Amino acid sequence: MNLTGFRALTIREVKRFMRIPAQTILPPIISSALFILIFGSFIGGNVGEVEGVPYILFFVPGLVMLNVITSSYSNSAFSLFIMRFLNHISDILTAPLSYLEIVLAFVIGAVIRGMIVGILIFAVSAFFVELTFHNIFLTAFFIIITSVIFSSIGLIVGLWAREFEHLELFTTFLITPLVFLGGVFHSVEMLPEFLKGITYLNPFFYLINGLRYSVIGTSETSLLLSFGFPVFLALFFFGLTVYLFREGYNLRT
Amino acid sequence: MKESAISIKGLVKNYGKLKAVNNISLEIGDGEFFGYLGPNGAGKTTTINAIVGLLNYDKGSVKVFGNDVVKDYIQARKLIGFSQQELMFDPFLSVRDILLYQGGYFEMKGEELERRVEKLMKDFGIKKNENDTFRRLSGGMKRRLQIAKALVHEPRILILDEPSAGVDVELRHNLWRYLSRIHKEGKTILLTTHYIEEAEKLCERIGVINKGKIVALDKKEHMLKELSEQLIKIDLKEKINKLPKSLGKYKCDLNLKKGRITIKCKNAQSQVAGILRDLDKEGLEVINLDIVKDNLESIYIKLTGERNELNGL
Ligand SMILES: Nc1ncnc2c1ncn2[C@@H]1O[C@H](COP(=O)(O)OP(=O)(O)O)[C@@H](O)[C@H]1O
Ligand SMILES: [Mg+2]
Repeated sequence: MNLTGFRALTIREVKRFMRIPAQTILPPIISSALFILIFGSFIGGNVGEVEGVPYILFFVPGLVMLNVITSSYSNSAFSLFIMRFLNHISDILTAPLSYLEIVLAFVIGAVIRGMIVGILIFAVSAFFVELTFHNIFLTAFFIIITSVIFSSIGLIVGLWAREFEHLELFTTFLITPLVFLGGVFHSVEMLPEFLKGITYLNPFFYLINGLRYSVIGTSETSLLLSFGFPVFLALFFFGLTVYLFREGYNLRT
Repeated sequence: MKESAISIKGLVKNYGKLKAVNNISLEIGDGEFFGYLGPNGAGKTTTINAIVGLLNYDKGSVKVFGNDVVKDYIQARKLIGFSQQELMFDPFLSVRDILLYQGGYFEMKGEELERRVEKLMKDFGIKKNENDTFRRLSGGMKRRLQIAKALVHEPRILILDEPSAGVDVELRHNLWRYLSRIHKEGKTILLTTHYIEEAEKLCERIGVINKGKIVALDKKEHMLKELSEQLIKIDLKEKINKLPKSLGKYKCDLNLKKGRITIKCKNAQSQVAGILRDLDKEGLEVINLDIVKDNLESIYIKLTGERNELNGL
């Protein structure tokens, strides 16, 4: 194992997004603060309690999940695509780094960004509601596992993409709609019967539900699914990414 | 024979119908300075990419000091320093950081790495730009950075893909001196170029590639001797209009034009004494004699059928 090289690449990944916080960290924090202010304070008062907690506490985990997903996805998708686009990816491809080490370094960079964003959104919400965690280790678990899933997907899209627009396609048409429908702001109970069924098919629902459980302590579905499913997805996409790197998909000619 | 630094066997790479590399085999010895010469599009970069791990090739095997570049890719990559043809770097990093990260990827750290980077920046004259990003560097400075970067981890093999492209004369000569020096110190160097002068000056052995195939592979001196023809030009006092009979026994191209005899063949030079004797016997007085030797340049043109726009001047 090339620990020194792995460390260097991980540090490079973290420094990359730290250098441009106005593009990487601030936007999700600002938009979340607005959601919390408007939905939580102004509207939330009229909504009352959902699942036995103030509305604001109900949707903050959803908001965190939404932004952890987009942050970790964008981080690795853009980082890898820019390397490919500017053609300096050969630096790491000709270095004595294993494909596992390369993918892991990218993923850790994205996980760190996901965690920073998640923690900051929780911190903002603490100004508006008394924030308590049912199980903070589970909170960390769900943020990390989600970042692993979506940074791996980000790497796959970063390999596949031929233009910058391709990276956005995925967020605009897949991630954002599915996350919102997965229950960032609403509980399944609020939905008509036929939409409930569909929600259970939405993978994002389980992620949101899992994180929400770690905060408020109640779950809308089987906990086993909310744990098992993300772990399965993380292993699957991470493994697929390492495989694509090993095969040199769009990396070697 | 010394252990092979690079061993390529039956390498094939197709891009659709195009045979970019068509069954190439090549051994480069430990400590050798090898020149890989060929016109644009011949397949030089494709071959290099196979060695450094940037190519999924279709057939064949490539080994670096016995390590297969696919199966034992980590071991193989440790031994190689690679300077790419294109000058692209991480746009977020300063010159100094580019070198530090490169060292990091190659398992260097701390004091040792700092010292190495300092030394290389001085050796390559890029110290004054250490805090600039690469976009602010001139083409020549980028090339220096590129080669310095290849050397950070003190690799046993240095692979340079067209290091002289877009580089001014002074830098080119500095670079040649530097390469000669590290070669003397024992480094194996593989250099691709389409500057014949470069290969002729530096390399011990030369492979000429054209259209994906190696068309000549030999020690430089041999290649010059084996492939070079000489042209002897003889001016006679007497304006004759028929070639002297006695010259017929030389298996050379003979020509007579305006009283000047030209004799062209592989070993013409060694025949000069005999030719002069024969002319003397026929009572022809020689007033001028000129021998023109082929250089690598003209050999190259014959092999590849290409006149290089840069060297043809
Ligand atoms: N990625 C690629 N896709 C298709 N054709 C390629 C690719 N890379 C190189 N080629 C073709 O392969 C041939 C050899 O290219 P290359 O090895 O770069 O030549 P050289 O380095 O000798 O100039 C050229 O005809 C080139 O156009
Ligand atoms: Mg080339």
